[in-house]
Amino acid sequence: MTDPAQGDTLSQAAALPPQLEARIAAVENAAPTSDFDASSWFWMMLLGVAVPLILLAVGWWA
Amino acid sequence: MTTHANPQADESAWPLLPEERTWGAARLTLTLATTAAATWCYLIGESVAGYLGFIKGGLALGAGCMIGMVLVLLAAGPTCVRFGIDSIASTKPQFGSRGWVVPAALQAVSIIGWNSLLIIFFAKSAVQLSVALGILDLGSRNAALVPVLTVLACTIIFMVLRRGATGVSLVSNILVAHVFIGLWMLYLLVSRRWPELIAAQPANASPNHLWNYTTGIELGIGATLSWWPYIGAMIRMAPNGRTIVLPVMLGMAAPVPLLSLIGLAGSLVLKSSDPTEWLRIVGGPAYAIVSLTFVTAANFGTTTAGIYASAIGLRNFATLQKRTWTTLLLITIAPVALVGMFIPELFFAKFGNFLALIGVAFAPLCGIQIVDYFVLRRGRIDVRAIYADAPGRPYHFWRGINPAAMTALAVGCFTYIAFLNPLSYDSAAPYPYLTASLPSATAAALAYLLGSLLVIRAGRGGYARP
Repeated sequence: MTDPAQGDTLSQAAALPPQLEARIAAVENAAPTSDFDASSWFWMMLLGVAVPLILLAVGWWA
Repeated sequence: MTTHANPQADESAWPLLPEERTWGAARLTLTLATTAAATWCYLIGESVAGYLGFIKGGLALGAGCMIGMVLVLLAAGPTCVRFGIDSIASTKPQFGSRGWVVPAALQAVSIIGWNSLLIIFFAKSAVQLSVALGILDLGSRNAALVPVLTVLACTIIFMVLRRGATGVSLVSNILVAHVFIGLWMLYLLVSRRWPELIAAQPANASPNHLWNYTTGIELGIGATLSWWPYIGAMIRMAPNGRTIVLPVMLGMAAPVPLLSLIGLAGSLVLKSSDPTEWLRIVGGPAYAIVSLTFVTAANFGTTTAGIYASAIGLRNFATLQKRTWTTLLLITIAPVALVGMFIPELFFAKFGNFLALIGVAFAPLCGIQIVDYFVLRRGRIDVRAIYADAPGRPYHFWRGINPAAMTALAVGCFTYIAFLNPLSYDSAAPYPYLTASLPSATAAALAYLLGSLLVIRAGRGGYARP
């Protein structure tokens, strides 16, 4: 059980400015934004892993 | 409760609404390319030229830049792009609702430090350009113009950034041409000096070829890891992850090694990484003017983006949340202007080493963020908790600080320095096989993972219980 005094402190300290509160609520209620989809992962792995490995191999044997 | 798109939303550190995130892939690519291309590209190229020839150096640097960029993208990218927040806000789930001041301090020192260097470069280039164009005579009094031009540049940047992220994008649309000028300069040198370029030997090469090659890779990784402080403020303007990947990997990571080839080639063939100097040798005064224009434009664009990212980062401080955007810009620009006015030469001579030391923190920071988002939280971030600082809130940890993150950051920095001293380049035996940034990020990630098991057991941090 939460100590009532601690609960008051929590609610006061955690109170967000109304505009921020509205903004966060809007972001929470919006359709979830994806981080990376399959296509993003493909390009990341290609450009961030595969291409560097090829460049390194070519450079080493050049 | 409903809210509407706010034209000033990009001047705050609060999450952006979907309708405010209007940058498409092309706009983001232009902005990131303009941000990435600056005088530091010559310095990076010059550093690589100490250890590797043109082909090996270019390939090692290119590979390192792409590896570093993907680490930054995996670290800050997911949280920034999902919630429309900046790099600093994205560290609160790891460092805590008060511990984020550590990454914020790293960001502020890194961006303000680099921007001071770049703006001094800008002022010096503008003086040289004026001399080359006949506007100014050669003379010692020209040195006195550097502080004046620094303040003028800061004033223009201030005016541009009063429009927020739109100002950054506007500057990028105009200045992105310098990237192509840079590539033209590279073509000139390569096409006219190819035999010398291929035959040129690096001046400081170690007898250990693997060590030289790894150092080229490490310089590339380190260069792009330094984009961590900038990236969040830019990618949060895009609507989703799919929109940011190619612009970041091609717009931000690719121009750095390409333009660094200018410094690499110049250092190898003409023993000078400064294209202003060697373009005069290769093509005469007209080419030198083009080069100076490039340097001036490049540094101006990067500094504009840097000041913007730094101002957004400062917005996370509660005391600065309600200040006007104008005040925040003044707070961010003032140190740059003061350095340029009063200690430009001293700063030039001494601060580079400090920036090299600060740079070692970004690899562990990335390791911590990646393991937290993908392994520990599995993508579950509480956006409300990012902005709420109170006992009992998920990211409050202990007094607002997550000791696991602080310890892991220290472990990562120690690991880096143990593998490679960033000032002397003294290295440990495993360095040629592993680099320094990658073990540093891995050590920090492992330390964070282990520390977080205790945090989770204590019921802190808002993690899902196993």
